[in-house]
Amino acid sequence: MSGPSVSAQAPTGSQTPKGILKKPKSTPGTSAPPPSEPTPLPLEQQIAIQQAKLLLQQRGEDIKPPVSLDFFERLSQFPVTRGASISAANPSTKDAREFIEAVQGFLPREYQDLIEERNCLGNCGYTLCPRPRRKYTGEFKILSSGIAKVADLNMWCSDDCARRALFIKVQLDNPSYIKRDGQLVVRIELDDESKHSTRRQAPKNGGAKTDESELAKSMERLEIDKKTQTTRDKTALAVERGDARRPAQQVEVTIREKSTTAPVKGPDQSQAVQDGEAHLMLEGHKTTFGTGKDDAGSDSDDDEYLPSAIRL
Amino acid sequence: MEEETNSSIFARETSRLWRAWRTVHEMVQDRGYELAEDEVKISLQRFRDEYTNEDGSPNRAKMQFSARPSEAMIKKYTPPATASNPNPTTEAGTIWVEFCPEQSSIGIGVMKKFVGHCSANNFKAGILVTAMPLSSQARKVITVTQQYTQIECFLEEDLLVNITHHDLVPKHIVLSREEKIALLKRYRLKETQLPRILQKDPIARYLGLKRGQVVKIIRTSETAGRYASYRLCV
Repeated sequence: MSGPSVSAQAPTGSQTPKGILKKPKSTPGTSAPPPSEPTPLPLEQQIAIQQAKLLLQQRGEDIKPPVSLDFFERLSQFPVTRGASISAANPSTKDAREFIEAVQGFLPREYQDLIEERNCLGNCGYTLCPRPRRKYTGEFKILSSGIAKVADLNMWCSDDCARRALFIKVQLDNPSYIKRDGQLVVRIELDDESKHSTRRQAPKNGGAKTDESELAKSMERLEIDKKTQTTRDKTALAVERGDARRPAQQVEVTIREKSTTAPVKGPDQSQAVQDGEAHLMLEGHKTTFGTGKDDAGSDSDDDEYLPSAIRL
Repeated sequence: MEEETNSSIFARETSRLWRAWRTVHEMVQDRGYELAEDEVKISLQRFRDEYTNEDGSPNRAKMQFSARPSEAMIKKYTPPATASNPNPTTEAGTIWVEFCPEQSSIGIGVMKKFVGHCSANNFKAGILVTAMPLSSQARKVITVTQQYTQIECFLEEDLLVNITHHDLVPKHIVLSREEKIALLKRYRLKETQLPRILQKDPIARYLGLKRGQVVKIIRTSETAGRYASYRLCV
């Protein structure tokens, strides 16, 4: 086993090791070929155009344009149809559809703004509720369930509306998507009113069944969420790398060779061969392990001083 | 008993509003608008007579005024004449100040009404003094309409004292465009090399600074007597 390794690592003097550096060209003047292809635009301009395109694309994808004020104005005066039969639990289908379609384009922050805007007008924070909001005074209020901040209570007309609005908010915070006209939109649905009324009246009877359907529904939502998540991740990564939507525009790579001035010499190993360290040399250098003790330590006076210090 | 508590509440509110009313007048005057001295230094008794209802409650709907820019201010805000524009028009215009009677927080509707009133009557600037903070969408209305009318909003409680009268607040003077150019030339500076002041800084809000304006701050100094520094509004 040691035979071949010795012969490979300790070559004889005549057999000089082959360097890894490149041989220079015979005439250094022609070594660097000028890039002579005629480009239609200077490089800086091309880069600027690319950057501008990228920014435009990112603005389109990352930063959603803010919801216009008209939407807020309209939604803060909802519901449009009012009557004896209309309530938050039983909204008119037209209003409900319009609300859902508007809210699908909202960010969670904007939904919060909508609630704030409705409260400014004295309406209940839930958009489909025709009733005015509560107007407690003071800072805290004692309820049967505990102590609540009045500011939180005053946002709604009742706890039911708070629950309904929260149901929408949760769907905006953790969105799942459905396809509509070839575009993914956030899936929003109103809280199922019949479920709550049955549960409150007979919690033992229908409990298991509704739970099961609920579970199936949430599983389905999870599945959709997972799929859209991967595509979203991919597009986000593509945008970050800057190669999305521009597959044809590859980056142009020009390889410029480094010019060499003198003929390359291999490392001189004659000294190492004499010392018998040739097998430790790598490209003319001996590898040490950071201490440097191997070479310098022997002739410094540290060695002599240290044992005497210990002896004392 | 009920009557007494009511009247004391009204009295307190009226005196708070009187202080805000005086501060906003001083602010408008300090910005360079023309106001009569007796308008600015109104006494509490006169304020009570003019701006309260019969039951003593303050009448915010009546609390509004406009002011014209003074000669000096018109000159200050006229951009320097150039070859292409030999007769530049001034950027200063009349200002409209209004106290908002709304007692809940201010929404889009109220804000739009105020902006509409300002633009319909050709006011270049408007100040709305509110009792409650604005909603975030109402704030957006201000930024959207900024290029047509300069709208500013102040809370009543922020105007209870005039901050420029405080002992520790040095004198701030807004520089005109020529003065700013001369300053940058004198010290061979670029705009960005000046120290900065935020637009939301209380003094910057008081003076109504816009981005890019330079304010000269004169402090008293133990060694130098007076010491002037300059800040760029960002």
